[in-house]
Amino acid sequence: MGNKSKKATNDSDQDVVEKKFKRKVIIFRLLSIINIGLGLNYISWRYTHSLNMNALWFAIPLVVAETYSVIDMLLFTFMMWKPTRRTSLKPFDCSVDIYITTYNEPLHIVKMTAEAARRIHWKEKRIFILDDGNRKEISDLAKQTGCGYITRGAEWVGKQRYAKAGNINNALMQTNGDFILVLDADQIPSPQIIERCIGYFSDDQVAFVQSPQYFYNTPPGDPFGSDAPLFYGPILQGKDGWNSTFFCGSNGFLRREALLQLGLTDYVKNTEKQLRQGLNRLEKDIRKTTNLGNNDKAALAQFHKKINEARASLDAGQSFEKVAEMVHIAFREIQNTVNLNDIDSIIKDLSALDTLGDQKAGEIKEKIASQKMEISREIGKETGAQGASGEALQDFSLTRASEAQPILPMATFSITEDMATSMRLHAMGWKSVFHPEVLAYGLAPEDLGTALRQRLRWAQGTIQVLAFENPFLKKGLTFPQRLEYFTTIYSYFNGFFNLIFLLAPIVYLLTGIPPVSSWSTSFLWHLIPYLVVNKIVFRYLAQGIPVYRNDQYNLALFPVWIQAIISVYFKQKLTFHVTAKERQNIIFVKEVWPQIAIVILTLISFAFGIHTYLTGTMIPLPGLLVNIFWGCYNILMLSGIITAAFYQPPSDWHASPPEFSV
Amino acid sequence: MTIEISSENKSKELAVVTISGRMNAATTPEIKERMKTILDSGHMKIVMNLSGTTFIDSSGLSVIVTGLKQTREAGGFLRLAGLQPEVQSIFKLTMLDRVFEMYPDVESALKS
Repeated sequence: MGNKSKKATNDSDQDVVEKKFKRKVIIFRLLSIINIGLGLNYISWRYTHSLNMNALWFAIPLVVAETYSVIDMLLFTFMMWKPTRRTSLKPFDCSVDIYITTYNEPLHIVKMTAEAARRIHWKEKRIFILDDGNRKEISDLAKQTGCGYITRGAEWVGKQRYAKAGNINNALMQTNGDFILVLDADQIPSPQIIERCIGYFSDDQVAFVQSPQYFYNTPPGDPFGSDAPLFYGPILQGKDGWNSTFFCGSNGFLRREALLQLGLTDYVKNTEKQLRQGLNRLEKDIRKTTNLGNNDKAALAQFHKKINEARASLDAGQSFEKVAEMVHIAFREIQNTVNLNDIDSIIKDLSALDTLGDQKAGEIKEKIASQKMEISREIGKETGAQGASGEALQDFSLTRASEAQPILPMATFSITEDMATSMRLHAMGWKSVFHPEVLAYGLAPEDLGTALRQRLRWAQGTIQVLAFENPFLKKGLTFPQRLEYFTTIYSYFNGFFNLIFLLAPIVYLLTGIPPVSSWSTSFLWHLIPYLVVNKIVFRYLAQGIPVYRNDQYNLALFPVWIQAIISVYFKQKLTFHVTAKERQNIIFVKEVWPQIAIVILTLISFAFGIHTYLTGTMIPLPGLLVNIFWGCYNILMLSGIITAAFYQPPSDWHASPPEFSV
Repeated sequence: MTIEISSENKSKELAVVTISGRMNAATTPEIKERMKTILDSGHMKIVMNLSGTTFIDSSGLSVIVTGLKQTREAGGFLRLAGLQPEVQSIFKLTMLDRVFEMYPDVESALKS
């Protein structure tokens, strides 16, 4: 077949796929409209017709949890409304730096990635191993494989290191490729990864391109729920439709210019913030200073005036350098005036002694009086050297003195730096791309403990974004972008509501008190169609993607999500745990005690409920059946994580690294 | 020509560094290296003459900000002089014009 006819066949294949995709979107929208109608009908009926007014302590938490779920469904529908289906664009000449980030991963893992990176097809590429562990064997590996080796320099000693974000920021100042491909130490890239993704940057508004993260070591059945094909597929395609896909830390490309611009504007904003804080602090100190002599009071008033002038200059758009200089001069002046006043008072005392006949005092007085200015200057120098002025003026240094680097392009306020950085880039007007093709495979956690710690870090980082840079308040984001970032954050709040869903059947079966006014057919007629259509929509969207494990973990991880929120809002110190790449051979019962407790309580409540039904009238048959069904569903959903705690991989199973065709 | 860097020592502490050409990712390693040599020789007061700089990108700006941090921490300063309108507009874009006092020429930067 000639080239032309081959191209024509490819084009027509593409057309078929495109048509299929469009049809899928239209069907999804139609199903979603029905789903929204049923959901809103159900929740409004719950509020207006079915609350058990005699047990509001129970009825209200349940209806609030249901409301949360309906809002979740609305946000999800919005997210999926206009997904993208990207195909690679033509590559263009440019230089790409490949960063392999590592901290404590074993040598053989880093080696596989470095060797795979060398096989990537691209002329102008430079590979750097960013070793935050500063290990000799990794430095030797870099030499052997012809990669650059970057580790933190002396400027980081005694300064905040910011884990992976700091590692990348450090490297950014030492390399100069047009684009950066970030690979976690375990992510083995395909040789085509650059060719397939770089073309998107021909739109010079695109700041980053993300490709999926898949794993080659997921044991059969994915017991720890590591695979995320729904996220690295339909969900990011949905977000991409609203230009709000986010950088996921690995297997993504970043435009150097965009990152540095972000770092620079962040530096300016932070410096201004620090200047304003400094001015406020000085003003507060002035107000607190009392018990002064009249002369010093006048000097302080003058200093206060100068501080206000500096603030007015800052408001008027004067350069920070000039404002800082104004404060430095004012500070030197007040120091000098106070010193001179002190010297005058000493001279006065010496004069008094002189009058009383102390000749020596008279001589000293003359000497001091003749050298007043010099002495004052010396005292000023001395106090400066002791740090008094240094401390007072530290906010006016313009150097971000507490940081190792003035420019920190990767956001450092959240332990999920990737999402925070994406949001800042979007707020600056940059675009993003999700390329759905799998171009690298890495290692997922191999035991439940590690998997849970990883989920906790993601959740904590995401909640930090809400706590410190609320997307609804962030300037520059479009409304859909705000909503998209909020949707991600919102999903991590489901821990509290899932706990209510897990406890509700237990409470009913143990007490006989229903959260609804009755378990009537009307109740089932409102609920069941909504639940069924909701499931259909989700399954339709996930066509061909296994979602059962995802459903299980979504409900079962409630303690992790609750812990994440509590730790952020109660300011517990959060640390970036590097995800262990090797299996810890222990059983993780301690990690799943809340889930085990819920299962045991549910089983007890079944027995109690059946007994109550058989021996009295407190629990009617519909109530018993609905709640036993509900409880069984909960047990089924929790069973995944509980069995994962005891999981041992089959003895004949082992992970095989991917083999890409060259 | 991509970049040309020259420096003139005005005193033990003060040096004028003239950068001509394009300050971008490709040329910043050279500028960084030169700045390091100048700082290491005890010159912590630097006037950067950018009258011959025709282009600057974020990498170039990062070098200037890093230079500001290094000079300030050593008790000195970094002043910018003679910026061309194109270069000035990049400072505006990243809001860095808010940080630095821009001097029209080296003489006025030295006098201030």
